[in-house]
Amino acid sequence: MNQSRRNFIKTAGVIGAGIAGVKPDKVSAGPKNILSDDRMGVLVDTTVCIGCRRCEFACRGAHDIPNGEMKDYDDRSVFENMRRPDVDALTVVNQFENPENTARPIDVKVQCMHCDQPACVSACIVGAFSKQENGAVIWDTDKCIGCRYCMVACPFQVPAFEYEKAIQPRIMKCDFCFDRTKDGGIPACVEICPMEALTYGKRFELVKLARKKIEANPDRYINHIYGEHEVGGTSWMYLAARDFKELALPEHSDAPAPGASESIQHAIFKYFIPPISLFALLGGIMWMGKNKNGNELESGE
Amino acid sequence: MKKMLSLFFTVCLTGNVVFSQTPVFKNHAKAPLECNQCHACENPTYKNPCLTIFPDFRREGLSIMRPADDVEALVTIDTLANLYEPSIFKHKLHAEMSALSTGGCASCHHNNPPGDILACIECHKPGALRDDLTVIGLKGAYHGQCLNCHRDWSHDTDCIKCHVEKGDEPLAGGTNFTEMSQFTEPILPKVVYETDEDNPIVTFYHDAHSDIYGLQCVDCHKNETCGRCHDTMEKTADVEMEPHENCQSCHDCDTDNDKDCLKCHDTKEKPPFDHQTTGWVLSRYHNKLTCLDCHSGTRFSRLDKTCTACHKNWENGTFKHSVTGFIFDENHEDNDCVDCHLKRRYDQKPVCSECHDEITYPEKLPGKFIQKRTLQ
Ligand code: SF4
Ligand code: SF4
Ligand code: SF4
Repeated sequence: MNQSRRNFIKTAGVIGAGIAGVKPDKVSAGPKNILSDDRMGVLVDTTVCIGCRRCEFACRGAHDIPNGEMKDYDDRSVFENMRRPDVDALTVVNQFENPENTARPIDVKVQCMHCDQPACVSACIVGAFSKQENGAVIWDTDKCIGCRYCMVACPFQVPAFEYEKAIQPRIMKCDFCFDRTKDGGIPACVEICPMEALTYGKRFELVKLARKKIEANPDRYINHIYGEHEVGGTSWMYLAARDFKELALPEHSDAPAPGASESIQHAIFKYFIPPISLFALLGGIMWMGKNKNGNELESGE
Repeated sequence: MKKMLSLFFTVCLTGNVVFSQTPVFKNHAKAPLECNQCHACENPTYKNPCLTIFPDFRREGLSIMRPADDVEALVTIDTLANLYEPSIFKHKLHAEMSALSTGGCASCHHNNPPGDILACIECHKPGALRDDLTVIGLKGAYHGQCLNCHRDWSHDTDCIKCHVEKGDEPLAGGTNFTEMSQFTEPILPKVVYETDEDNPIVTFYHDAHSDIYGLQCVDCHKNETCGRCHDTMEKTADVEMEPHENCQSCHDCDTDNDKDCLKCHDTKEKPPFDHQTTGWVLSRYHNKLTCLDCHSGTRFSRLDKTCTACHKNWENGTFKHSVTGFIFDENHEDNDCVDCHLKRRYDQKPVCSECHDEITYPEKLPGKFIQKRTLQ
C-alpha cells in the first residue's frame, strides 16, 4: 500500500510535470507563435454594414446552433439593447446612432477578433486554445477543463461558457469557421453578407485595402484601422466613420494583451493550485481512499 | 525537339487563352485611355481585371448621362435565379427619380468610362472569394446600390421586398411587365399650404405646373433625397421645401411688397390660373402650348398679339387659311393677307373696303366657314 501510494505521488508528479512540460509549448503558440505571413483575416467596413443580421443567421447555421428562419432576423428591436457574443450567438450586430445621418445608423458586427497575440491562448492552462496558421484562434473541447480563464483574459470579452449545460459545458466563440477556412473556404458570415461589408482575405492585403479605402475616401472614414495594431494586431479589423470608442470597440494599446494575462496566470500559479493538478490530486486521493477502503475491507474479511 | 514542341503548344494554348478573353465592354481599348489607367497588372483577364482601386477616370468622375425617358424601362436581375425569382428593377422610374437628386444616372452608374454604359457585372464579379479585393463583388455592388437608399426611408432591410423565394407568389405589382414598364410615379394634383401669414392659404397647383406650364420635375426638385417623398416615418408635408426660392425662380415677386404677396397668399383657396383673365383666350392650338413656348424669362408679360409676331412665316401662299375654319371662294383665293386684315391686325375684324364699296364683313363673306371659329 505504501508502495502504491508512493507510486501515485510519483505519477501525479509525472502528470504535473507532463502538463507543465507539454503545456508551455502549446501555450506559447500564442505569444511566441510564428505567425504565418499569409494568415487570413476579415475587414469589417462599418460604413457599409446595414445591420441586416444575416451574418448572425449564417453563423448559427454553420455551427449547429438553432437559427430559425432568415426573416426572423429582420426584427430590428434587438438593437434596443447592446448585445455581446454568447453561447447561442457567436457573432452579434449592435446598432449605434449616427449623429450625422439619423436615417443611417451605424451597425457593428462583433465576434472573436482572432488576435495575433491571443490572450485566451496564453491564459488557457491546458492548451485548449490555439492560434492556427490561417489566423483562426480555435478551441478544443477535449482539452478544456472549464476553468474559464480565457473569458477573463480576453480583451474583447468574447469567449462564452455554457452555464446552462450540466454535462460537458463548452466554451463558445467564433472559430473563424475553421472547418470551412482550413480548406480554403470562406467564413459563413462573409459568404452571406449581402452588402459585402465583410471582406475575407490575407491579413496584409486587407491592411493595404483598408489604407487605400481611407486614402480614397477621407470624408467617409476616420484614419484608423481598428485591429491593425490593437493588442498586437488582430485578424479581424474594422473601418468606421466615427471613433471606435463610440462603437463600443474598446480602446486598447498596441501591446499584446497576453502580457497582462500572463501575470494573471502566473499569479494563479503562484498562489493557487492549477485546477488540473488539483483534479489530479483530488482524483488521486479518492483513488487512494478507495484503495484504502478496499484494503480495509480485505483486511476485515 | 520535344521541348520545342511543348513550348510551341504552350504558346498556342496561352495565345488561345489570351485571345478568348474578349474585352469587357465593347471597343474599350479604343477609348481615350491608357490600359494602366484602370488595370494594375500587365495582362488583365476577365476573371482578374486587376482594376486599380481608383483609376484616374474615376477621380475625374467620368459618367454617362442620358435623358431619363430614353432608358430601358425594366431590368431583370436573375444572378441568383437558383434561389430566388428574378428581381425586376424599374430602371426608368429610378432614372426619373434620380434626376431629381444630385447624382442623376451617375448615382448608380458611377465612374462609367467613356463608351457604352457598363453593366455592374463588368467590373463587379460574382463570388465572395475574389482575386482582387479592391473591387467589391457583384452581390455587394447590387445591394449597395439598392439598400443604401431604400433603407433610408423604409427603415428596414427585408429581403422580400426584392427577392421572392423560388416558387412563391410574385409580389404585389405582379408580373405584368408591360404594366410595370409603363408605371410612373403619380403627380400630386394640388397642394394647399397653411402659412403663418395674415393671408395664410397658399394654393399650389402642382399638376398645372408640370402638365401645362411645361416644367420638368427637376426644375424645382433639384436636390432631393429618396426619403423626402418616400419616408415611411415622416409625412411629406412635414419636410420643408424652400417655397419662396422655388417659386421665385419663375415668378418675379418681392416678398416685402404686400401686393406681390397677395398673388399667392389668400384667406381661402385660390382657383387655378385661367389664361382668359389676361384677355387672351387659349383655345384649339394655343392651349396645347406650355407657358414657356410663348413667354420667356420670369415675367409673364403681355405679348404682341399679331399672329406674325410668333408665326413669322405666315405669308401669302404659306398660310393655309382653312386652319382658321374659313375657306375662300375662287375669287378671293389669291388675296393678300393685308387686303382684308389691315396692318395685319388679325385680332380685329377683317375689312372688305380695300376692294369693295358697301360690302362689310360678316354680312357678306368671301367664302364660307367650315367650322365654328375658334382660332386665336
Ligand atoms: S478576441 Fe479574445 S477570444 Fe478572440 S483571439 Fe482575441 S483573446 Fe482570444
Ligand atoms: S467567422 Fe464563422 S464563427 Fe466567426 S462570426 Fe463568422 S460565421 Fe461565425
Ligand atoms: S450580414 Fe453583413 S451587412 Fe448584414 S449585419 Fe452582417 S455584416 Fe452587416
